Amino acid sequence: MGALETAERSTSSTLYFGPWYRKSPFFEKTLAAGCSAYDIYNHMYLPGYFGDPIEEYWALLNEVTLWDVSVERIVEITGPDSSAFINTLTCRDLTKCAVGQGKYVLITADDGGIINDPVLLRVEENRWWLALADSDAGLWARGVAVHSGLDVTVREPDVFPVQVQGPKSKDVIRSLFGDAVADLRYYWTAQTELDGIPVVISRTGWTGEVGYEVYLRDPTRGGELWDRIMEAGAPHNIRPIAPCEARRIEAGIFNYGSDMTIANNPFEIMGLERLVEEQDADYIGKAALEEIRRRGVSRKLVGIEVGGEPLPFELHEKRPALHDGQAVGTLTDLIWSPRLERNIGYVWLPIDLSGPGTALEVVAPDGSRWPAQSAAIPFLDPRKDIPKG
Amino acid sequence: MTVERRAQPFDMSLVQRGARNRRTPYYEATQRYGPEGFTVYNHMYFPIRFDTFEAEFEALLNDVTIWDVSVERCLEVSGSDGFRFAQLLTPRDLSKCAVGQAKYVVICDRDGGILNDPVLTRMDENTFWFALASSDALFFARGLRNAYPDLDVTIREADVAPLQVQGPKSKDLVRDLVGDGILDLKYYWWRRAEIRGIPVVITRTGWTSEVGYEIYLLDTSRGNELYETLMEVGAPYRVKPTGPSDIRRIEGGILNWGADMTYENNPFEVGLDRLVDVGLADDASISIAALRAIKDRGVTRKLVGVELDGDPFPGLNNVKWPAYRSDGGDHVGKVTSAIYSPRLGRNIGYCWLPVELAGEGSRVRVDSEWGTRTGTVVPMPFVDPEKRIPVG
Repeated sequence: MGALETAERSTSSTLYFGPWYRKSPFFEKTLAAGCSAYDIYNHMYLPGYFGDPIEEYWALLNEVTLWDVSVERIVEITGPDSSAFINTLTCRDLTKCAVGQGKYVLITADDGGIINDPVLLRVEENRWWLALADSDAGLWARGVAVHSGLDVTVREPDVFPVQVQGPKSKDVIRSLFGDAVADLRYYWTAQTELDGIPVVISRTGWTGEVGYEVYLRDPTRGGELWDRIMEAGAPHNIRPIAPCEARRIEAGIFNYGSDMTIANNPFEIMGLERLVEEQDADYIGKAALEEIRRRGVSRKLVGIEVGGEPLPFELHEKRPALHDGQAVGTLTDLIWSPRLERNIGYVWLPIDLSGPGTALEVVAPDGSRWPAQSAAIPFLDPRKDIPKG
Repeated sequence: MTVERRAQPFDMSLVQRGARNRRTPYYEATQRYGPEGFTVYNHMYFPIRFDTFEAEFEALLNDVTIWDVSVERCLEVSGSDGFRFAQLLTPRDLSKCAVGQAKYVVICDRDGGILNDPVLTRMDENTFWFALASSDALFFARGLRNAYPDLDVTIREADVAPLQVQGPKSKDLVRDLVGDGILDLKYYWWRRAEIRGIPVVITRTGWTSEVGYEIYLLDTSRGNELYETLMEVGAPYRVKPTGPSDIRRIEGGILNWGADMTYENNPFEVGLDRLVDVGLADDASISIAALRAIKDRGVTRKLVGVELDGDPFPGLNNVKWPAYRSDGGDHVGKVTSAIYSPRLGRNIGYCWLPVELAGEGSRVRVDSEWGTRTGTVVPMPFVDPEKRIPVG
């Protein structure tokens, strides 16, 4: 369990490296670019820190950024019955998902609990990719497949995405892949190559900005692809960054495992209700979710705004939230938004307190209390005009 | 004698981003003993080093160690059809596991691939705990359960947190905690107990190949209290907080799921044949038909023990190392775990090889991160193949 040599030299990484977790095909490039801390996500190393998160935030808002998200492990579902099978896994109606299209989906359990919230890409007629959040949803799919009676294969192909995000990302993608790819519509995909490096590109991201994901299909060529993107981005001051938590929270994007788990259903999370699509087809969790739709929910994950000084980092622990001095809920995320000039995050509240403007207090890690109030999600751009732009 | 408490708790901001991964119920206590590093395992922060490999190894061989393995998240299968459902998950015949007993098992997919390799404890006739390696096997179980709507079975993560107490003095420590009766507990059996009023389940199991116990905390609000009690009562036995001893577990032939084996591998390839009871009916266990066929057909590759020549490795391998045919250049396999054993005076590890190269004495060239080495296939485990030490 020797710490990686470079990590030992660095000032801030003490996560131990071992052979039980995978490195991404871009790992060496992220080290060379100055990444000094990694997290673990889907059994892989996720770059966690390059430099000041506030500088990275402004780079994302004004220019273009490159982010290694190989940890979005791809679960691939193929076979003649793959479309029928994938439609049993999610509450979205995929009969409306064309070849080449993508969707943000929820994988739901029999009780409506959320197993994962991947971006789904229909790469070919019978080839579906799920780019996973941090849980082994592939194991769920395998479990379902055992007795499904459907002819499908569930596997993890060697496919590794990077995100190219920010207003200048179109220019970068245009210079590398041409107009057809750069002009992809929001949540659509294309298959192409760069110097013979096979990739799939989608007009998606985890930022709320204009952006793309470039899915590398030949893991031996990660370094080359990284270098080509960095070269093409140089005129636009491209920089590698860690996940931009401030921007994703502004946009109402959730972090599975932190904001929600299998114990939560989509109706409990502000903004995810729309993903439970009424449909003729049956899917796992349908009966439970339609019942919840009728009955309503007793708690909700909504926004929270906390006054006071800027938080230097995202909170490391969930914190209690109080109303009238009584513990009523749990704060799951909190971070400083440089442009809103407020600390913003998400909080679980009883349904009757979940409207915007409820006066709250958060019990801080040092025991003090921060004044706060509930808010609507997202904090910015509810119609997604920015990323669609 | 008291254990020195280092001044420096670990700065979690070095490894933690947001609240996605959980901390264990022993987190505050472990922080008082100066953990030097963490990894993440089953979505929890896992303290895995408190001292050098050698110092932790010596403590394990001579004294007693405590190791927070809350990360072995506990998949619980219960309900009146709990036995039937638990048996679907594993190819090991659970009718041979009495209430009060535990077994090392593999959870296998319908193609025989290994999805996890937990220790299973049979809590009552129809309640089973699977203390998981690092994969969300609970999702597999819940996914599978959809095909059995008529079974009365509940699948959940039990709110319990195991702690490993391992090493020759572990018997003294556990006796001092719960009384002489515990000394009757046989290898791979378990018992309920209370430690200063804290309810626990104690199993005679571990990840070390030394004598040892796992203490499953049943009231997770009291983790720090339990940990400090063990430190206090264990002081005369020089109890030491440690991480996993990769030296000892490799000597003992214990596999690390995710490193040594994954979904792509079946039990016959990794020497876990004894965990497959091919006499089970096809509908009793979802993997048994595939595994029976694999057994009949034979495997084409194996994970075997290797000794690697040259200077002692400075640590555990960081990545898997490619292995090549010694007479040519062909890439034939990979070393998945390797470390220097001070008492054997050799570098030891595991290597995947085609069966024709997997015989004892076969040699391969290995590109390690510390230079090119020659690997020689040897019998595994490297120490105490009869498991006399942990049974003792």
